[in-house]
Amino acid sequence: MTTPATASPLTSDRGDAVLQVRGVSKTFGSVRALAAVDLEVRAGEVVALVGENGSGKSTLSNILGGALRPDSGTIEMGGATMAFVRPRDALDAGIAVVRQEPAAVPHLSLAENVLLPRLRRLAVLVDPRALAAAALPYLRRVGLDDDPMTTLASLPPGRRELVEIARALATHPRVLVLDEVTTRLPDPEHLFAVVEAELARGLSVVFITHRLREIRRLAHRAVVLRDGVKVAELARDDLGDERISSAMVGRSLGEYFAKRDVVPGEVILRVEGVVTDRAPTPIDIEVRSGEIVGVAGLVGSGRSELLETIAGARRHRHGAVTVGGVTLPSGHTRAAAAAGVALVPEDRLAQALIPAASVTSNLSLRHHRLHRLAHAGRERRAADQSVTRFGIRAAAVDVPVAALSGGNAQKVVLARCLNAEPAVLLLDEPTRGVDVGARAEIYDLVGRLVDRGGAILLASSDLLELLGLCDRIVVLHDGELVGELSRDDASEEAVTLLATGGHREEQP
Amino acid sequence: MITTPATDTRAAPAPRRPSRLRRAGRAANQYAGVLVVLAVLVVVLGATQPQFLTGGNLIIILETNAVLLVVAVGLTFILLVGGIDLSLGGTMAMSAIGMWGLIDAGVPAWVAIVVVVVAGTAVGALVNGLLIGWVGLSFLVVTIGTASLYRGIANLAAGGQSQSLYENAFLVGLGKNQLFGVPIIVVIAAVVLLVGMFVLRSTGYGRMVYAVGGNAEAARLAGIPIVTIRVSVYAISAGCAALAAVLDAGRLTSASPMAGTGIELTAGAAVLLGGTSFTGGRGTLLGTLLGVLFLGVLQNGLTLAGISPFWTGIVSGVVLIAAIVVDRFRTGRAMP
Repeated sequence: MTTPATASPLTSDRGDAVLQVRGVSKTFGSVRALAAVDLEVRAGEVVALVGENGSGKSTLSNILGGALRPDSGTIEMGGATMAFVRPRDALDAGIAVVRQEPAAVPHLSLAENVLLPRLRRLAVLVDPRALAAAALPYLRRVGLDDDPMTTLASLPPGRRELVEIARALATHPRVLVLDEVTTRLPDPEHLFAVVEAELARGLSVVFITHRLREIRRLAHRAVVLRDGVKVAELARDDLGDERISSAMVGRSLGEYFAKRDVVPGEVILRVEGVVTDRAPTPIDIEVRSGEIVGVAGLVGSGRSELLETIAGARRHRHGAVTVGGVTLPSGHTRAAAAAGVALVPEDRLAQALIPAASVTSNLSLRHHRLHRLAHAGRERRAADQSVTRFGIRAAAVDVPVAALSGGNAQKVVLARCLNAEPAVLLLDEPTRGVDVGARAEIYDLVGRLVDRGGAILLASSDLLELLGLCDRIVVLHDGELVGELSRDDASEEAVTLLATGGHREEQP
Repeated sequence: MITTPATDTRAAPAPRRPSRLRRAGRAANQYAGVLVVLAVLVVVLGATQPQFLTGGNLIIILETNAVLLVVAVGLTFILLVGGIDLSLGGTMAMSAIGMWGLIDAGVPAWVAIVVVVVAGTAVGALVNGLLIGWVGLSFLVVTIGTASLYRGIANLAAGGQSQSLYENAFLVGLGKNQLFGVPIIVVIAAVVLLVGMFVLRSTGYGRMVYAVGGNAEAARLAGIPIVTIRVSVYAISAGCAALAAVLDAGRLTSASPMAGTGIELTAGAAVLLGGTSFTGGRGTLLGTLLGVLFLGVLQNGLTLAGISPFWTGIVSGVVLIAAIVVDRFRTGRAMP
């Protein structure tokens, strides 16, 4: 099924190894992010780095870029061992990383953004025209025809990302690391053309993505990570969807989650013609009692915005959200909660928890009322019950919630929502950064709510999670609901096709 | 539009350059708020107060605001990286009393001035700079603490008394003399402003200040030494405050432990009125100059018109808040 990790490096007709990663390990607290990972990249080669969320791809890219230091292991460039202390060292050694998160400076010019790594060497005098002239060739190489002296903020979002690619090229890298960059680009094919032109100049690329199609399109080889371990190395001929996804997941869909057979009841959540600033096309969704409906879509497609709108965290301009027949006022979280809506937001530390406060305080957040006194003893007893009932592993209920692992912190968020016995549970990336064991427990908790007749809307970028859990999947593309797939019709390919905006006319 | 990648750069089409007019328009837009109120103020005062539009009055406005301008120039650097320094008044007091102590001990005035400015810069780097930029403490907490600390040191050293410098011809001359009819302290403030503009606009250091304020993580990953930049802006700002204390002492011919009380907030209002973003990364010293001029003209006009000078605070507060409210609605970022 998968090639053993110990397999000898695949032979290639390409050049010598430019980058050699040997036995790199990294742990964060008690979480093992990378365990003795090897990676070899030769001149002019594209190596895809593949894995689920939390498999260690971004940790490795951060180590390559000098933003993180490995606990053990070595990185060699052209045979010489490197010790990167800070990002600058990696740039100097010839590794440039373009990250998933936007890294542009809005109020600097395009030229300054492209030449950002060089600004420190131009310590004295900057001639804007000379800077523009120096940046121009790199902007051209990524296909941007704008004036280098305009500010980045005046560029539309789809093109700002190209400026970051130009910045990477301007450091004259031998290895370019692209970390989930295509999720931010409206036209990945354009990037691929840029990359192919650079390959001809001898550049090597580490290409991190979770879109299987892009791997087949660009990569010469693929290295698959799972839970921080390199589990497979696939040659070009082996880059079929089945091979990659089975290596990524290492378990079949059936093991992933056992959907209970619940007969859906009446409609509980009804979203009718909802229009938001992010989503100009009206959206209609119905979720029945005992049903899990998935929301698929790429980063930036409006998944989180949709869930936040239903929960009253955002306003909608038109349309109506009704829960059990009651229409919710726009942008009113308290009314939504009173109607039985609970949201597990995408970023638990920023949106759901008060990191420095205790597990108890975080669990009791929903109970505070202006006219009611807080009751420390009662809160503590309730917290003890929740910890037992939801299997939250914490040293004590009065430790700060920030001290918990990702999975246990997420269980605190879930416990707070489930304690309110919600009629509608909105889950946004519920298992991001959660280890495998906690993941199964979270699925179990969600499943129990479904048994009791709860209605669930689940947004996730983990396709296998959606396919395993959901009765139906709706797909968003650029703020628009572009299709709905029944459990039987849903496949990774079908969802991906819709989510990337492909073959729109063929869909109902 | 996105073109296909050009492998032959010479074949690339000519860049699409916005017209000079549109660029000027965009620049004016940035200062729109303060420019409009400043223009209204000048027109109204010019029409109603015959003394307002005279050379002598203009010199008075510049002279009374030279100290504020020097402090505001330094503070602009800090606001550009997204910080604030509430200890600038305290730094001024400590510098003024330090200079008085040196002169009292027989050190030549010009040596004392150089020592005070250098020492002020060093203290800014070593205390506020290291604690905020290197250790990573909150700029609010640190500078509230150092504000109290510096003011306390100045009061202790001076015995709580204002100290006369009337005997010192050099300092008296600094406050009184003119160069081609322009007071020396105005010339010095103008030089500070022009040097600051040059540094921010045309040096790699200046562009790194904008980069760190605009997106610190992007700057760090691009290899920019963000700790050095953060430490340096507190050094520059404290150095400017020390120089401002020297100019202030020259103008008043005395050194006071109460020098510069509240000036950091007035200077902050001027910088923000000039369009600099409180979150960093955006703003110019030209805007800061306009902000200082607005406050100066306002106060001058109220004095000429015989209106209570306390109205200065009320009007500048309302204008500042109105400016940020207008900006908020224009960028349309109310509730998502």
